[in-house]
Amino acid sequence: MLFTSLGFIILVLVTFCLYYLLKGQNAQVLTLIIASFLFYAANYPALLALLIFSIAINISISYRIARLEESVNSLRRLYATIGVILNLGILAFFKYSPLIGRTFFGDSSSIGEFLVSIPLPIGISFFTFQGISLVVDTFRTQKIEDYHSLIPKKFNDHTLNTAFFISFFPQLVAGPIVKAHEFLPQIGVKTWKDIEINTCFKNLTTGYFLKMVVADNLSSFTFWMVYPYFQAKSALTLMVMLFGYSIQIFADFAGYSLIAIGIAGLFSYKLPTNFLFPYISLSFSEFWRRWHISLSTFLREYLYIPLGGNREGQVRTYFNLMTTMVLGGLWHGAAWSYAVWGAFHGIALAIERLINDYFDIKIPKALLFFKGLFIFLMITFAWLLFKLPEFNHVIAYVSSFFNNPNGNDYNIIIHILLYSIPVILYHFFYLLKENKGNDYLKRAEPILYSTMLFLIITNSGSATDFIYFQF
Amino acid sequence: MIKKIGVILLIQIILYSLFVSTVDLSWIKRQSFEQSNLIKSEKYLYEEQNIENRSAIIGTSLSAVLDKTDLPDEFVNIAFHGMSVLDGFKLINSSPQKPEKVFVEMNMILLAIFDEDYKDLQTPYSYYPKKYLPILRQKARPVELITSSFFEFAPNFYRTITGQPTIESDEEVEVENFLKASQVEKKKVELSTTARAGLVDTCFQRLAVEMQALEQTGTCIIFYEVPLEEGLCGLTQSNQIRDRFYKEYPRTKYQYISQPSCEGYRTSDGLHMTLKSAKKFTSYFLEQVKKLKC
Repeated sequence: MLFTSLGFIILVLVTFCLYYLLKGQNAQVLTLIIASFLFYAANYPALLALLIFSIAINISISYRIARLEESVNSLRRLYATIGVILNLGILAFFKYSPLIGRTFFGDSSSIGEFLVSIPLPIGISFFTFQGISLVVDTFRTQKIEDYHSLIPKKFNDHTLNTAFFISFFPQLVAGPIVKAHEFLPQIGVKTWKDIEINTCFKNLTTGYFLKMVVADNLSSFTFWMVYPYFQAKSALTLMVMLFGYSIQIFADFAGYSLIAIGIAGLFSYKLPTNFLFPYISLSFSEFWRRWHISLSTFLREYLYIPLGGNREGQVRTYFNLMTTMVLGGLWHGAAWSYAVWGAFHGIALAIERLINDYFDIKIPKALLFFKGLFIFLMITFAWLLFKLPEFNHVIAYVSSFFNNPNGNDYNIIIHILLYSIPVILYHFFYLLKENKGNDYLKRAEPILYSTMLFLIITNSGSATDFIYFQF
Repeated sequence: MIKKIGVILLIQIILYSLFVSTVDLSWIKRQSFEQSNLIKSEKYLYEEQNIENRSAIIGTSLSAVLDKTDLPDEFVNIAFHGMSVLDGFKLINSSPQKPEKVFVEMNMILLAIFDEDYKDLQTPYSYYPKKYLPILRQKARPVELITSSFFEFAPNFYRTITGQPTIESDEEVEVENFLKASQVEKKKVELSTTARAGLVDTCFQRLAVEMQALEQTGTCIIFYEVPLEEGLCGLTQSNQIRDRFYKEYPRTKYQYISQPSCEGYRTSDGLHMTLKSAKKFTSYFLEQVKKLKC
């Protein structure tokens, strides 16, 4: 069910009314769980069973960990380990079986055929990560009194809270990834007065604008990046299309995250910020502090730091960094190109770290723009691995930069540049805000938001799936 | 703040509605294929006059190229890029106005396996708002208004910066030739094999549902075939599909415009006729139409 569909809007409206009419915490939570299950089952009802199975595992293991005494820490650790393994097992089976099948058995063998035929349940990468967060956070919580904010004493309450935490529909299929210690303490009785209307309105308007006006329109033109069509395009057209895809993937995912945050806000829940103007980054490490923040902080908290982080010597630090980035890349999709994309970022981060450790290079302020541009170009180039998951197509695309004699397609070029302007302005306004331009922006806000709404009404593109749904 | 935004939005909508209702926007055409399809279907639903006495052409991108030819006004071409004949049928069946004659392209009937497109256009929640609020239609999109203005009113500038002609001529279409050889080869392999019986059955069953609905309104239905690249003509799958049409819709009861000899017809990418060939086919098509009984 797309956020832009009529079915979704009706679901939100009905749930919203019911939710605030009901007074008890459990009744409100149950309403959201039912809405979430309806949302998830809308496309493939059978896959709801998997979501419920995943929730059931996490309910029982986290409850078991919470009820064990601190003195039996080894047993608690064992349960937490089992919980993580089961979550990763579900993710690996459904997400990576086709890749394993194709790589090691081939499509034609019976095992290969079986593995390739396993369906990819939507949002599996997100809800299994939240399951991991629940069991790890329960294990890490040392004091018994702190359990109550995460794991209620009553099993029924815990069941409802966990089902709600894992399935909450605004973030169920594409994040932001919510951590248990951030979300569970928020659960309580909510009233109309808890809604931050202006914030919700701004998030929803900006989110829908980025998705429906920018990303959906750009997708009509970046469509030509698909093999073999791109081979008929000129070098300039190919470069502009790649630039357009970079803008599209941001608008699509940041748009989705803002809509998710806005809808969660309507039910008085706060989801973490997922994008913080990533294309103004002056380094790769800054980019990862601004892009898909909920994933990068998850990987840092639950993978990089447990691996040792930067506390166990230089070699180990670089190893941890590369492992985290390659696995982070693979999390995005079951194709080796995603691992290469992760490795690309891992190498870039490692080089950056090395330079910072050994050289004290100070770039003059006037040249910072070029540094930012360089980072943006490198990141944009790496998106090619997202758009074209087959290596030979990536190579063909790059070689087309040099080999293609055809004329420029100005229909594509001009449309991509026009539809990219809002994202450029979006980043520019943030910089302006940071540099004392806040008053001007505040005054212009009503016109900016009404124009966004006007363009949503008159200039939306054809509804397409969110790019991150595939992950 | 939200109230203020609401007021400004209302002013924007009123002003733009006035603009859209007073300015002729029919010249807006340079969009993506998806948008072109939508503009075409919205035009059919909300703007075309006197449909009852006119003929509609429904088909795929093979027939969409006829838009660029001198097709007389009595024809409404609702062949869509990347879509199947079913989309055209659904559009006509969902509209209160039915054409006198409907010409159905036969070549790509197997695309009817994808029958999910355009359902949004026919649902009341998008049909009625678009009917009464023209600013919601594709042709009124502000961004395309800007880009179309650029392409329409700045031809000299366009020619200067691109070195290309401003209208799509044969030369421009030939740019796609880069892909032609591989496309032809791929299509040749596909058309040389018999299509799966289950797939053909499904497509014809879906076609039958739409055909039945349209025939009940008294519309005369005529089938036709578009010429292909020379090497792709007369292959196994095309013959199989043609035979199935003759079986389901016998020539004694239905009228057909036969595929002309593919000799002399050229395509830009192995499938779609060049402008010159499309014009040639249009002449042939119009000649054949004169011979029809309905």
